[in-house]
Amino acid sequence: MSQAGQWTATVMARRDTGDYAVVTLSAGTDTSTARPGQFVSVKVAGPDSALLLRRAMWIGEATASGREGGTIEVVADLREPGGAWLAAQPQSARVDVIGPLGRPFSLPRDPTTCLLIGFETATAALVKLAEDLVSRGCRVRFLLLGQNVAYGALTARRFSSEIMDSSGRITSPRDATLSQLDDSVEVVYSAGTTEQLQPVGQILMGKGVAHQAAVETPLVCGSRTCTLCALPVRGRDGVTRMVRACTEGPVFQGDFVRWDDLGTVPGDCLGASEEIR
Amino acid sequence: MTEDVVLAGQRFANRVFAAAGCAGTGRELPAQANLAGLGAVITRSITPEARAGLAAPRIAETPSGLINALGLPGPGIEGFLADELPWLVDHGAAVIVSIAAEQAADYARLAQRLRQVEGVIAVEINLSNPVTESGRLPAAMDAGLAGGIVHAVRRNTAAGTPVFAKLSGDTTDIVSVARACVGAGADGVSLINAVRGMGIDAATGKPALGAWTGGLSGPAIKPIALRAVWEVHAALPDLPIIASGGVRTGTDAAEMMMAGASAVSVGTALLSDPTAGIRVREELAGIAARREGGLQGLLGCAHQEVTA
Repeated sequence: MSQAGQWTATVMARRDTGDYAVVTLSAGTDTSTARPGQFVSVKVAGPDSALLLRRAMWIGEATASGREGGTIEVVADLREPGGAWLAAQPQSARVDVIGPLGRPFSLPRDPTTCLLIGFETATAALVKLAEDLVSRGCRVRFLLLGQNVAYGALTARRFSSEIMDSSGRITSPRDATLSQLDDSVEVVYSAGTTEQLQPVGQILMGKGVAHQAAVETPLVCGSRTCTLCALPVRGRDGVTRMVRACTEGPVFQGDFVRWDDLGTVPGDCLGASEEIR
Repeated sequence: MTEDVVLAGQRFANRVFAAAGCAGTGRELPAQANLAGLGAVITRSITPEARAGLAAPRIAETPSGLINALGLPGPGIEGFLADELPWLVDHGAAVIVSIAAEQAADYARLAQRLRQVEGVIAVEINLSNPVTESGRLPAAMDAGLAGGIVHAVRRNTAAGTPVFAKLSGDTTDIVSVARACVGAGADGVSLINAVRGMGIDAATGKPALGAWTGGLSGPAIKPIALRAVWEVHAALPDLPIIASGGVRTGTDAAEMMMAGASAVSVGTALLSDPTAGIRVREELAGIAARREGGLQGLLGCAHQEVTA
């Protein structure tokens, strides 16, 4: 694994959409290598702040050129103090950013039909993915779930006419996923928190459809050591381990995630013990 | 101005360390974190066997602090020696290995195993882990238990490798625990580990941590750490102290030294900024350069002010 870059980004622009803001930051030297599903971590608030963790933010739109050598867009949740702080930064403010981080989505070798399921602000993780899939000749279908999917919907409209946008309606993720699955769909890409992705992961388990899930963990550490984001995932050797979404993820193969056991350390997990406390 | 220091017979390039676990395995950090530029990197606590850790949530933000209940996740001593220690050594880090176990015999086993490997310049004993001998209380809460574990580790560690006992700010009388550790062979102490605390998530009405309670770290505990360093230095003025607890600036580090610390560990601050250790080192050097006596002159000077 190569070490991620850390840079001081400049805030270029901000636009509000619902409960979140899309913030444009000047890109770091490594950002041009960012792949769909990767994220950055942002240090929020100043040196005397009480906010002691960084915020993980999906890399949305990215440009390779510009006044300061490229930009990235990140989505800041205004309902959360760290996201609100970033959104409140004026143009030209400096922000400490580390990235690109994590394992990205894998793209299919041959053109195929893909269903992209995005929850809330995690739809940002699908922006670059959709572009790359379409450029490979894939057919892209979108399922956008939650009240705050406008950023993802903008992209969706550029790359697909097959969009199911649930904003404004109460929709069961399980039923919505089933309604979009037909024989033509060979790959499902999903993005959201573990709670949001759980019903999707459960319904797709064993269905014979390749599923790649990008797990959102809003708070992260800069050392990627805190294991705040650990979840139980089965390895190819059949052994379940607690692995970090920030490092071994955020993208996991859906069939390997222990969807029924999220929030727990399963008894058969490597190193599990009732004695640990 | 020279920044190097000799603690318990071991030379360190400077006095600012990465606190246990907060630099991770090193390889996940951005290159700018520059572990080789720190006086030492104290590893996360290494256990005899692999541990999965505790259920989520494992960390929560609180005003000016973090609470965590991780459960010492990690690959165990053999995984650490195979995958993590070589990387740190190859990248120029001066490695202090933190060890944790559930009974004195296992602490001894860990020390014995570390004795056989290159690249370990000191051992730090995490005494905040619950141990079976006490009915699952941390050994750091009891002078006798802490001394017993220190003794087991010291006698299984090479003579030239210093052993530091990491104590808890939760204990009623930290001086008596420090004395017991020194009597059992500790070459120095690390003060302090995270302080026990908890958070409640008002939205769900549940504890903020999966394990309900955990350890509070960050700026919120700096006054507790300063008090512990002050008391132990007053009682044992020649004992090397590695201070930790809410250090995020050079001024914080200088205050710890003024209270009696010989070196300072940066912990929680590394989680939000992996370059914090290098920055603290530079700021501390700047503060010392502006004072008569340099870095050594800071050590315990607050005691002189009140006893003069």
